[in-house]
Amino acid sequence: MRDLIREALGWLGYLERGQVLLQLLAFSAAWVLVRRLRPRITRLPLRRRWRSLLLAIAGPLLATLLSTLLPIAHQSFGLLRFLVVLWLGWNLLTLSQGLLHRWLPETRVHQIHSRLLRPLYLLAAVLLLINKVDSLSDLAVIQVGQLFGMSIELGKVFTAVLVSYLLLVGSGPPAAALAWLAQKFLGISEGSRKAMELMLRYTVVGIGVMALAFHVGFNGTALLAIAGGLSVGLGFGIQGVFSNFISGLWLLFEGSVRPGEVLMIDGDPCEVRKLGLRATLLWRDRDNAELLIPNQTFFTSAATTYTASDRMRRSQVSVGAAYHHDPAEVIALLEATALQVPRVLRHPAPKGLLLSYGDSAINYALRFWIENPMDNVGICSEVNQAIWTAFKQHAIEIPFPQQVQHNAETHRDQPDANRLR
Amino acid sequence: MRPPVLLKRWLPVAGLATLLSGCVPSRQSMPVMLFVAVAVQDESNLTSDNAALFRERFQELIKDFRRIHPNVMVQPALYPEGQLRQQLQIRDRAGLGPDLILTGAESANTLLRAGLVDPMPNTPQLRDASSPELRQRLTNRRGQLAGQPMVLFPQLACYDRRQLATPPTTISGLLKTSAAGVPVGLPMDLRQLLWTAGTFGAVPGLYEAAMGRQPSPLQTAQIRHWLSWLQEASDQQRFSFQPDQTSLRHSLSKGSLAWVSCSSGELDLLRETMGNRLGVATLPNGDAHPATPVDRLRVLALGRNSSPIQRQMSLALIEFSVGPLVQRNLTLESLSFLPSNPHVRIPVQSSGVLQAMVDSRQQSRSVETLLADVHQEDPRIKAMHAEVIVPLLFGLVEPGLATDRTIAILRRTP
Repeated sequence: MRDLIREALGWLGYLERGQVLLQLLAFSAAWVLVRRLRPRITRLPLRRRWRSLLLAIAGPLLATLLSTLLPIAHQSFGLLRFLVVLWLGWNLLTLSQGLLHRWLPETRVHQIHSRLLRPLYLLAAVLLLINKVDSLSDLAVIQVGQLFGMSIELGKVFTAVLVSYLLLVGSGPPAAALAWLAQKFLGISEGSRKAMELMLRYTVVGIGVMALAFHVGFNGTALLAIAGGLSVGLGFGIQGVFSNFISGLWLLFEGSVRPGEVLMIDGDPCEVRKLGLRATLLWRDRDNAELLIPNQTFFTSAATTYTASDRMRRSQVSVGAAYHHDPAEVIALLEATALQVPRVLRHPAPKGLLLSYGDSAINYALRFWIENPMDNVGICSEVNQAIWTAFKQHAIEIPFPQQVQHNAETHRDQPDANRLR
Repeated sequence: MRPPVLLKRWLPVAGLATLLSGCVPSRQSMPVMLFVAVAVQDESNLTSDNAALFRERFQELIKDFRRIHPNVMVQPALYPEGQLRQQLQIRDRAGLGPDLILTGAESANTLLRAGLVDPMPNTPQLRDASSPELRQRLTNRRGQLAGQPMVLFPQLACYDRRQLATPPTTISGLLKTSAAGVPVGLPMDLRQLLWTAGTFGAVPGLYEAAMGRQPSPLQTAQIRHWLSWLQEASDQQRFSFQPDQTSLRHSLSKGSLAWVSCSSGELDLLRETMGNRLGVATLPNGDAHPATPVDRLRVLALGRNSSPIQRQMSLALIEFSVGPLVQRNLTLESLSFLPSNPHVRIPVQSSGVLQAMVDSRQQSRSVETLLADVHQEDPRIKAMHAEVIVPLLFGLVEPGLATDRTIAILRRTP
């Protein structure tokens, strides 16, 4: 590591050269000038798209113009041109974010840019810059340390980190594509597709990490030693983390908790959004809250699901009707009313029931089936409204308990207990 | 009257700068960073082993130089020699090229042709520090010198003492050794096989052809004898031709080969892996002619982007490196190369390896005129490799046809 720092500090020595300083000065001048011109460009009467493009190319264009002057003065210009290309590339990359919004959702575009494109661009820029001042192949063989008696080279560490990052970030889209193909051709369910996608990702990342370990120079003995160390570590420090990870994998294979499943959490139906390495992310419709629950919780405690064998849910509303209405007529009306609500399934058919004889009304229940458990509250509301309307049309009374208050008369000769003395 | 804003803002800065100027060290004692590109002559890519070796050797030189110029810092950057030209082009355009380039003679000539190095100044001190024949290998048609000769890596025979007690001294003895079951290896590279041509007296004929002239019948017959020997060697079960020198070195280290031709530049790596098993000797001679090994000349060339002070210090470093005392010390410390300075006396009695290197250097003088005209990147070398050497070793062409092809290729104008 000391060699690397010394090497990097040595690059400052290029500032001794007039031609290097001149190029850096020209670049800085273009940068400052464009910063000054920016407010004027933004006020130009142009369409937003053209104005953005102009802002993106103005600086690099100005720096390119300056770079054409350098050869006239017999000065090198390669560094300036290189910086111009980097500047233009960065600006265009920023612009592309707006273009991608047309085809992809904003969060996806943000993820692609912040996790993949920008880091890769900056990395490539740094490597290309180092290639101009030093030998990459030489830097790559600098030894950064020793591990299990093996010398670790900078190039291999760098490759390992880069490939690991790309595996984690970049394995998503191919895994998703493969799972989508499997769904198309094998007809697997949506939940299985998502589970398959996750399992493919974990497999690719797992194999990739093993391959990288061998690439860096770990031998089998070293890996066994690491595994031994981990087993001790698992017993103490990272037991919870590992337990959650294994629980997550188990749940995926079992298929009980997969993205798209609906579980009852504290009496509310919640949809599984993401089964992560440590925790599961669920969405609660009631208040649009996202719940992060450790995987181990599902593994060790009971959970109610509406989506284990199918996604249908049987729902129910209760209503009271006056005693003088024929229960058979009421039940028939209730069943017919439920069928009129669009989101109530026809099969299995809605079922009306006389539940009990209440104090002021006969209590009925209407049971019906819905397709999506998450829509339960909304559909119940629609059914209740439909019942009210139907009862009104058929002059069926919904009685409610009435209280008659009588003022108790007090005799004048009796002392008023409440009167203030 | 109020002073103008610009004056008001910059006046204190200018005043401070004037005050501090008294603290600025003189130009000669200011820190100077020298960037040195070191080409690694290895067929394979850079490895941590060979990089560490090159750095170590280079640091030995710099350590002494910094005793005289403590303000000079040197940052080496190692490149595989095959990539040097391309990398220098990238750096040179940006004004970020190295101040000094330590590379092979052929490579320096190529860089001068490509305008990536400045010609070496023809000062009496530098002229005196190398022999005219070495300078001839670096001089172009305009009389410009591509670099200053620094060290020579002679071509030798390296063998495994455990498998071979005494190395063969003649080219026919080498075949007999192989026939007796001792595994022998040679590279397929033409320049590194040229020593075998000398043992059959074929070098003058090759030189004639390279000059565009038809070799005499005797010279043609000598070339044919040489090529016949190559094919005969290739036919032997225990005689293998490997694609590059690195493969040969690894095979010798592992013990799968017992005798190989090698460069003295590989001795350090071989010593590390083989220890006392490593034996070093001169290459075998012919029955009537001596071997003609090709030594590798390492030179220091001047980059084009240096500031005046960097150029001044670069020349100081070159002059220091080729000084007799420094060259002698470096040679004795490494025991893996010879000094380019002809005024250095080498104590050959002290080491068998030094003796072998000096003998090899003597043998190689007879091919220097040929090497000066046929450089590594000469298209005729590639054509010879593809059309003669490889088909001959695989038995696809007869030595007679290979001889005709050799003469025809060498007579082409490069």
